[in-house]
Amino acid sequence: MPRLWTIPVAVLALLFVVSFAWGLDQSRTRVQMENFLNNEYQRSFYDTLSQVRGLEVLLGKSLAVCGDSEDTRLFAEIYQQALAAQSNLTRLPVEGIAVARTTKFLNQVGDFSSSLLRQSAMGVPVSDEHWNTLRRLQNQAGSLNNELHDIERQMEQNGAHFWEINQLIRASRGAMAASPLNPAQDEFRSINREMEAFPTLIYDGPFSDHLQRQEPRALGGEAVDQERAREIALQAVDRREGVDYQTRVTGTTRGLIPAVRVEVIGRGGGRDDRFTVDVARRGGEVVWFLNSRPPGPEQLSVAEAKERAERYLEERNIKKMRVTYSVRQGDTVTYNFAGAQDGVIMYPDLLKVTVALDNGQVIGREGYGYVMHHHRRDNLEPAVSADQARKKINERVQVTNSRLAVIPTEGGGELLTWEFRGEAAGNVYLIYVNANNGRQEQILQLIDTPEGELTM
Amino acid sequence: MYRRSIAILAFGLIFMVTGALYLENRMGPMPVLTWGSKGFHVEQIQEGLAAQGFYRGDIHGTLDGATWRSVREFQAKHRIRVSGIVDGDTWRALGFGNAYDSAVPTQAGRVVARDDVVHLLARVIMAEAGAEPYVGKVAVGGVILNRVRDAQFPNTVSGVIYQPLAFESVSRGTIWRPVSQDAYRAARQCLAGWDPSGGALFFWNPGKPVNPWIWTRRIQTRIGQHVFAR
Repeated sequence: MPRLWTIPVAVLALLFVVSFAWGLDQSRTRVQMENFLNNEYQRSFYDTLSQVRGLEVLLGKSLAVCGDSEDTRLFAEIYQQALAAQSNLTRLPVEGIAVARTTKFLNQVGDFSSSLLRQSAMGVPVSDEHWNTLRRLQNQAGSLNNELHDIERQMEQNGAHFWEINQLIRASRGAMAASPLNPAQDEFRSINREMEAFPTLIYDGPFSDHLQRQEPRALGGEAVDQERAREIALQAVDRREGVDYQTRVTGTTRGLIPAVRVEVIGRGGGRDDRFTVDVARRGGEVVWFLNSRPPGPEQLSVAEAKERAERYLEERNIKKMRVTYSVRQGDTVTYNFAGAQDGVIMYPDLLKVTVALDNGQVIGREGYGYVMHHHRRDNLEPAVSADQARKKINERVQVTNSRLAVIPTEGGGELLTWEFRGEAAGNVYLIYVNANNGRQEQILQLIDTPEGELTM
Repeated sequence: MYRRSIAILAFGLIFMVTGALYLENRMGPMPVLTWGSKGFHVEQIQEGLAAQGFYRGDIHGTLDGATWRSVREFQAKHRIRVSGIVDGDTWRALGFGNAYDSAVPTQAGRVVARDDVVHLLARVIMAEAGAEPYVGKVAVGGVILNRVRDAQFPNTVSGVIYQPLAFESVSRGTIWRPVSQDAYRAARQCLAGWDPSGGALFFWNPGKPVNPWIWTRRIQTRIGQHVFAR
């Protein structure tokens, strides 16, 4: 008869073998996955390197352009390389902060080049100021290129696991050895220093630095105190009959439109309203509000909801707004309103209203566009007639409607255009032709969904 | 004495290994909840059941007998296999992981939203701000869209979300947990243009350990547990 103690020993031995095998298997899988991941990161790194090198050369070539429309090809290539480099750079295994400045540089180069492309296509040669900017950008691309090559050389020698890539990139930001407690602090300080050394880049595009400093146009008047902010918030929200509402200030917001945050709470009638309202500090315009209560099962039709939205604006004396688009999201509908002046639609003056389909209450309002851009425009006389503008449109497009509209440009400006609604190949388009020089500015395609409805 | 200690050691080891293997199977994107499970997901179940009238107890986050019975009632009503165990079918029937189809329009320069963007945004909002008030959820979505528009970050929603080391919930994989209707609503609302964060590019919970440099950023506002800064 075997001794009793051999059984647990046998079990233990078996367990050791099993866990050893399991450990081996885990380790092997881990090495495989690490290799796979490292390869992905290395590929992104090498792609970035190659694209930045290409960018330096292309920027150099851009200093020798002839000033005709052949230049557009070069600017298009710069745009493409810059954006590709930015995309690959942001895949690397480093914190966003360590590459934020470089990402910004690449995005701005691409964007700037895109705006030069547009000008070149119109036959406008590169101005002196822009030529100097291109030269500066070439130098910056060159120094970035050098840094990346340094990292590549070190990777060659020391290996390129993702933690090494991480260390090398952070270290290249000119920082001292990071302390283990605050690893990013030193890098961030040195990045900050470098960022201040680069002048801001201002041009007509969405990444231009001047967009950070726009002034809201529809705010006037004096600063609003907390008491007044509470009154304004109470008036602005869509109150239900017979419910008592309380207001209180919960904080402030800084940013492009500094505001006072007010909460308006109404208890009763089955479900509680909890509105959060941002009231602009200067002038007291309502920037946005949201009601946190989840909407119940729907009882209203979409047409009734639209009436409620329009009535809401009228009751608050917001005149001359026209619905341009609406989208249904389950149990709510959001209407986009654009301002109008003398029959011209003002798209930059955008005001959105969300209506709940359970009781028709306006549960959301968003007026950032309206507050930033609403003002009386001076020259709304088109230099080009509708018929002349229509000639610009592809003859395959069946135009069904046209009107004047002011549209926003990417660089924060505005343009007077003729807006044509047309159909071709089963698609619906909105085509915008500049009313001053007859050029086609924008094509929008309406994406057909069962819940989106364009009203024109 | 010697024999007994060996026996205890052996059975202890067997217990630990089987326990570890069992847990490994349980840890996945949609946690399977059984009687005795605890935590945030149980609270979600209890809230979901309470909203439909199946559960009348407190939302305390422990799957006790009352909750278990409510789950069974719910499953019977919805013709799912009545087991008292909350798995994939039950989660879906409760409304998690369902998103109605919709699209948000574009107006010169704004993001064109399609379903994939809504889903991604809702997942990150749920993982980062699941316990935050509705406005806080919309604000987190706003931060992501602000990054898309900013030159210092990638230019697509997926690029911003999947940028390495940007969001802890993405690094950990918790964005693949069930998403509530509130999070979907918040994702749609921020895609429609609402930004309670005031243009912020960063947000964090001051109660949790963060990199000290983030406090050098300009603070725009605070909502719930989160501070928003640019």
